[in-house]
Amino acid sequence: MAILETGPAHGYAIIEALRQRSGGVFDLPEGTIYPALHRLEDAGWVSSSRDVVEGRERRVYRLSPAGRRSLSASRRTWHEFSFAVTRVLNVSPA
Amino acid sequence: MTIDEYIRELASGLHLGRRRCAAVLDEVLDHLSESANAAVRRGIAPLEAQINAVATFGVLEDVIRQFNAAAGARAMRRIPMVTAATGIVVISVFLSIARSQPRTGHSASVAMQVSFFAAILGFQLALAAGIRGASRAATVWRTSAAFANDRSLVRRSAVISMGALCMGALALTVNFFFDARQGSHANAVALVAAGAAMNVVAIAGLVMSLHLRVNPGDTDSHPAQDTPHVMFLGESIVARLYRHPVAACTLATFVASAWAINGSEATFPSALWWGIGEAITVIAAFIWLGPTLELRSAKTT
Repeated sequence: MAILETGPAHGYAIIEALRQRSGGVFDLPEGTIYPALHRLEDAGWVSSSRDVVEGRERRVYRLSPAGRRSLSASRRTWHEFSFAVTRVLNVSPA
Repeated sequence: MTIDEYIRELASGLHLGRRRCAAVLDEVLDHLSESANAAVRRGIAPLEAQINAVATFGVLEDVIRQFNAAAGARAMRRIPMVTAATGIVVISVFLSIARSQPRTGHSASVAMQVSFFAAILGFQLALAAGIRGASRAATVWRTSAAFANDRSLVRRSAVISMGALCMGALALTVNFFFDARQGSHANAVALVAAGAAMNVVAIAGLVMSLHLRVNPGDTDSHPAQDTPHVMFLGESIVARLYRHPVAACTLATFVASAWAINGSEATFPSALWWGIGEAITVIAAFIWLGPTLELRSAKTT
């Protein structure tokens, strides 16, 4: 959802962006992205339509307002969690 | 495996509707073609590029399982709408025909009483199972995944609910038939038409419930994780009834007796027998359907 926040994208572009943004750490099997996108679409967080991209008709996904809210909440939860874990890990032994 | 072979295998493994399946295959084909073309542009031989594209897309069985699970979750969300719409139509037809008919002024025959009793039991069972399924679907409505056991329970509840509705509609049609034969009603044709309409709608609901593919055999990507169930109103009511069967049956006896007396087609002693019969049936239904509708697991949450 964070990748779609910057604008609509098709599945292949989402995987490429995921790979680039994570510095190659998230090198998931590409086929897993589509069922995940379909789930997000069913939950109302993402919408899709057939658009022409670079001269070819592709299914393009975009973030919905509900998805934007969900992303914001997830981001906040993640920041709190990662901040807490970082603090725990950074405590030096007495 | 080449792209064509992968697409063929994928098509044979997907348990989706025709349009959905075609859309998924188009999307996957687009992806694999783009991936292979990009590799060819980098100087890789076409056949090798195809094999690499298929390999990075993922293990076929995993991909099929995840597509089926996602589609199953979508179908699961539709089921409560189908059952609710069917139930509302059938009950509306029943109430409209019941209100439009005049009081008979004489006692109902045993056949009419038995058929009416069976119809009410069918409707009660349909309502209880429908609420059970709908409340489980509601617990996972806003999540992006629905686990195989949830999908399975919702479908099972819907099939029980629609089956019971069919039983209720059929029993009510029999009741209408005997009623019309008495010749005391102004419009026997309306009774028969209402009975036929209820049966057609109930059977259509059952068929639709059976045809919605929830794919319970395909687990999601996190099979070990349990869904954090929130007890919705319907689910918590059913769980409480299951925990207090005596109170539930007493209530059912009272309601059934009051209903029959209010109908004024039965005397108090005969109405009481129907009430006791209702209570025994409710106990039997709880014992019989408890494990099927996972009523026991509800109280652990």
